[in-house]
Amino acid sequence: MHEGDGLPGFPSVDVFIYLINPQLERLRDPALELIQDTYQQLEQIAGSIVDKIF
Amino acid sequence: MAARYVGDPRTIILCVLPANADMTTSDGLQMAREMDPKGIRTIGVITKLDIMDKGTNGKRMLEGKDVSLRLGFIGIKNRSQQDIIDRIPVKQAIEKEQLYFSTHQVYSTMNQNLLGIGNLTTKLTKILFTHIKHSLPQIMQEIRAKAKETEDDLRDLGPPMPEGGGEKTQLLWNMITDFIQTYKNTISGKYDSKRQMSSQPGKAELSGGARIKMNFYNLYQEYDGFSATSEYNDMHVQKAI
Repeated sequence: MHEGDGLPGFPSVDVFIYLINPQLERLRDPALELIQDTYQQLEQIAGSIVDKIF
Repeated sequence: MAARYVGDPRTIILCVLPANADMTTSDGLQMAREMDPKGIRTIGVITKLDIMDKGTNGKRMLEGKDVSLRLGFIGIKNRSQQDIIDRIPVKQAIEKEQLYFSTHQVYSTMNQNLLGIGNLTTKLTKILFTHIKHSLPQIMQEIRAKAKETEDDLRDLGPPMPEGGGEKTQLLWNMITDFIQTYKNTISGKYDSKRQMSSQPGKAELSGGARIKMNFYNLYQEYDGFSATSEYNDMHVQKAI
């Protein structure tokens, strides 16, 4: 399917990327979730401080 | 409504009972007994002593032999309807009452402190004075606590709104600076008196920054020791190549 063109006789780097990509995809959702959580927490902190100060 | 007033432990209960009815069945006395079981703040006033059945008298009631109260009973004789129609003044009515008790064959032999509006007035004044003396420290304490609470509320409200435009802008800037400072302190976990003041004491919870840091720390914890190649075998690699 893929043919190496970097070093003769070695498989292409695309092979590695092809294999690792589904594994890397697994990391995406928890990271996005964390960003969302953090955003909500920062918003909540800001909200509570605004309530106290203003 | 009566129950609300009577339920207050600082209220003196003036329980007025007609002498010509059975006092043990009186609703007022029953309520007083319920709210003040020890009878320490109930004073019994027995009226209509002059219109009791002939041959009966209120001596037992007045001496607390039927129902006992710590503050005791006082017997009085108010103006009758005829007296009111005849426009007899209160002063004269009190004199008539004194005459009634001093000439009555039973009441005249009794302790005179248990009879008459005059004695009731004196007794109530004494009770009220003692009551105030006992309750005042507690009331003052309550007032101090309330004043402190109100001062705290006032401080939480912040400085008053200034009149001038420039001062308003200044106030707004100060508030924004305060907001930024407090926000930064919350994230970095620095001590901030403004933040501490309004947080609930004893409630152990992480500050904003620490909570976020913990979330980051927990990210990918489940992947610790995970091997990305464990799901692949030679066939997969061959196929990919």
